Amino acid sequence: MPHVPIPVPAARQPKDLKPSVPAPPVQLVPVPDRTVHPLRRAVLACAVGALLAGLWAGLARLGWELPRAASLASLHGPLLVSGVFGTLVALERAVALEGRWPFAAPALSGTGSILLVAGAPTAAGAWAYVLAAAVLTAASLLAVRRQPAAFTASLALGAAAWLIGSGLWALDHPVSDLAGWWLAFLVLTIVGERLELSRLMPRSGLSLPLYLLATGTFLAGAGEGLYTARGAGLAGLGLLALTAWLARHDIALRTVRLGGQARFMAICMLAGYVWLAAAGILLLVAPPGTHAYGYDMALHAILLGFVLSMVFGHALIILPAVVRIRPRFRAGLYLPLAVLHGSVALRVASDLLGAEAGRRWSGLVTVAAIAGFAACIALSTRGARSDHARSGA
Amino acid sequence: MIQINAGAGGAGILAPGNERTGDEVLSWLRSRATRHAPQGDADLPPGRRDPLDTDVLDCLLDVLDPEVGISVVHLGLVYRAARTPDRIEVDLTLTARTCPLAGLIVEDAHDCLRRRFNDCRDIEVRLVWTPGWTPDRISDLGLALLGRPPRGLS
Repeated sequence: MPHVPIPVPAARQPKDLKPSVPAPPVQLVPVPDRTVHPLRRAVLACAVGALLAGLWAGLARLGWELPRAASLASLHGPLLVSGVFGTLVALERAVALEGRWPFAAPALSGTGSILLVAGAPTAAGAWAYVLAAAVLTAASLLAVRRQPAAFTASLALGAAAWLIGSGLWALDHPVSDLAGWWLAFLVLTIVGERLELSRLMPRSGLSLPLYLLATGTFLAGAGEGLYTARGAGLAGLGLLALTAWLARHDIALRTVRLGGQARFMAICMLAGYVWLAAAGILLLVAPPGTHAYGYDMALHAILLGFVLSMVFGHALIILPAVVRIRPRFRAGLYLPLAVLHGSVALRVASDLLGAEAGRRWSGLVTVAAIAGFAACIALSTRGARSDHARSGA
Repeated sequence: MIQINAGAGGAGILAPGNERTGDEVLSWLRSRATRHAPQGDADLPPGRRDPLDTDVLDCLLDVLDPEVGISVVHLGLVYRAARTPDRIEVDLTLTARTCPLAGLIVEDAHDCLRRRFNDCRDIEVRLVWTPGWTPDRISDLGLALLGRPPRGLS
């Protein structure tokens, strides 16, 4: 927005009708641009498509008989990690940085999702994801340069982890070998943002070193691979250390007392931290290498219990920021949140006990939670719009 | 607007059911408007070192940082609030440049000011990044909302 400096009278009382300096020529000050570029909506549509396809693939992997199960099943992880979460993170980063080129990242990952779901050769979609991650890494490094801090470094490291994991997948490595890198992408991104918010909380001289130690430990284990004993052990210890750090430093501990939307967001985070710790314990006592469902438990405790719970909480502020959709907080949102966490509990318990039926049904309950949440958001957006129209604002 | 602060945000913590008109809030606003501007002002050119207009600040109390649920005023994110009968100028910052909510908060501040001062011809809300925000800009009331002791007490 062009800024025209105007002379400000020394005595600035509301009663003053004649400023002490001559009035400047009338300047049109543009109002903030409220339009949403069509690219953003298209990218969000791709993320929704990837979500539907990824969930479909997930149900198929749990044993439900569904059409196209065979072709989509192997794409479950990449579609959800890169197509959904990667696209959302990249879109947020692009909106924050305000240049044009960072938007190439979500555009590329959206394209990758379309290619994969449409049945193009897997390599095409895989390399589109790699390019998306490369652009996000570059954008995140720019953010580090603009604001050098541990939290911007965390976000950049997370983006690099997405790049490494996606590169390994494009080079035909099995998802189970590289899943640690994708987990590191999401964990470092989320915890990095919590680190930034923790500046509002009292900190000691040990706060930052402990954070670095916890994330470093987790990253070392995740990079080594969750199927190795050392990898699972380090990742598990790292997650426990991160949870302990968050329990002391995270702002959710305070904002939970504020009520309304702030409390809802805090509860989403705090419930997620419980699963983060649970995943840490599971990696230590029932690691993927030894327990039949160790991989499934740890992965879904983190991705559903922690990451998706965070997404539920932040949808209320990210949707307005990114695509100008403004849902209102309603207490009804607690229901799909509870169903989500119930589904994760059912899944982990069934995995521990080897109960196939429980595993299968937990997937449906998770899908129901997501569908319910989306419906609540849609209804509260429509309600907000009609209130807005009625008030004539 | 994310929250109009009507009971969903920090209500009840300052003075139960009365947080915007409580005596504590008004006296804090007056002292904020008349005391020295925040320490980063040495970076600003002389014409910019204006005290913060109390009516504009009072209006901006409704603009919350959505991540935190606390007003941008209490978080120390309002660097400048200048008001004449014809024009209002507000300079805002955020705690992090990686925050995608910047445009939203600017828009909410603009809407809030437009609703309150609808007879004012021009309203401009700008996002600025210098001086960089630091946690010591949080007001005592902001600290109270965060459950922390005010400055000067151990």
